Amino acid sequence: MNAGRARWVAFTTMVAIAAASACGRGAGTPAERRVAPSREFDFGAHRIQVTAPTNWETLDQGNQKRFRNGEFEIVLEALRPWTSLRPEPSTAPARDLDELFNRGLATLGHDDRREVKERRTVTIDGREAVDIETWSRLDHTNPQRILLVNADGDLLALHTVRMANEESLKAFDSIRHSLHFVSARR
Amino acid sequence: MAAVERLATGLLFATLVLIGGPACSSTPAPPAAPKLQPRETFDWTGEKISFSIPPAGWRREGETSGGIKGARFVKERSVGEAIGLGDYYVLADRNRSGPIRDILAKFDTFDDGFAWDRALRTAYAYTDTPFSSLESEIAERVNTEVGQASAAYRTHDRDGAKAHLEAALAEASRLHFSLDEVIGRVEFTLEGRQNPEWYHMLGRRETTIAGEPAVVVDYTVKVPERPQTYSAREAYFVHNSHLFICTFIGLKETLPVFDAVVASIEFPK
Repeated sequence: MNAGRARWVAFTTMVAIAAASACGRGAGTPAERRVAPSREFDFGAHRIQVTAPTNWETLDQGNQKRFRNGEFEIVLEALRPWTSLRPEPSTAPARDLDELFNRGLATLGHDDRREVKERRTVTIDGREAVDIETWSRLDHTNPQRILLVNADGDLLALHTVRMANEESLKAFDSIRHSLHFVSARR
Repeated sequence: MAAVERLATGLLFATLVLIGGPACSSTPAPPAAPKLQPRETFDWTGEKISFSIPPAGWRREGETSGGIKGARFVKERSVGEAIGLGDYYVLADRNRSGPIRDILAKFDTFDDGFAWDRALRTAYAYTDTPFSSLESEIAERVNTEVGQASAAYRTHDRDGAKAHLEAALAEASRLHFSLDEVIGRVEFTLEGRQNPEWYHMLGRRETTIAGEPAVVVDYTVKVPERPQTYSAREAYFVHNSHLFICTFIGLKETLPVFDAVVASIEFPK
């Protein structure tokens, strides 16, 4: 085998390995890109640092950051801005939190089939937030977690998707505790 | 030596009495009460009800058939045993106070868009197959007031629309149902079954559940596909015009679990 042919074989082998690797990971749409378990994400004006739990892969899909482990999924996303709901950001926190709660749940598709099991007002990295647990209204199965954060007038949501189990609820808590607002570009 | 033998015989006799006595007793010990799981509070159609959950090994499911919204607990690895508790929403929906109250709470947020019309449609009372003459009378008045609220809103008379809705709410709030008025729609009867020959009526009794008058019906079921004859029990009671229905089907020895769950029912304030 001459040197030119050897280089050609090496090149095609590398291309094949790269292609197989991309297919094997289910690369999905071009907008999706696989990222490291722990990193910073941009949400418009906000940059947020998140650490994914062990064995959870992370996908950056623009407005939505997905954490996946098998069929279980947790999403961190920016809901539509809600600045118009609070003319004075520093006043009337109780009323604002109620609005945050109602608008956030409605945007995430919460309806009468599910019931709020528990709702707690918390602080996430210095920002007011509502930590919510919901379950099926009929039989109290299928628990889901939702965290709504008032990020200087923007509404950020961290929530479980479709189904959750003990492990994914632990992963939710892990991600929730890791949330850190690195900067806000306003 | 004889003294030792007498002592040994005495000890043996005493031991036999201690061990064998209870076993030979003519009255067997009562079966242990079922160990239920901690109580939970459910709100299926606007009226909270709380009860202890069946023991571990009973799988829970949602119940949405037969006009009932509720929960069903199915005994796993058994012959097909289930306990159901639910709110008969067909009756609960007759009272339009909830939707009217919601519209009034959000009244200032409505503009001339579709949201008002959509919301107002939920305020009208049902007029078909009424449960009582009081319901018919109230439904007519509620619908008249809601219709007038709609007309006032169309002419931009928001104050008038709100006043008519408040009048509709006052009418709707008068509605109440008793067990006697509604039980006929849901109570188990052989005639109501598609295959009455599979069922055998055992009895009907009046009792009290969670402080409310109640009716309990017992019957057995023998379906061709199954070797067992199943025991069945249904309990009906009304609280705040909500008709609650509790059902059991399974083996006779499992009935105490159903009875314990029903006995634990409370209505949270």
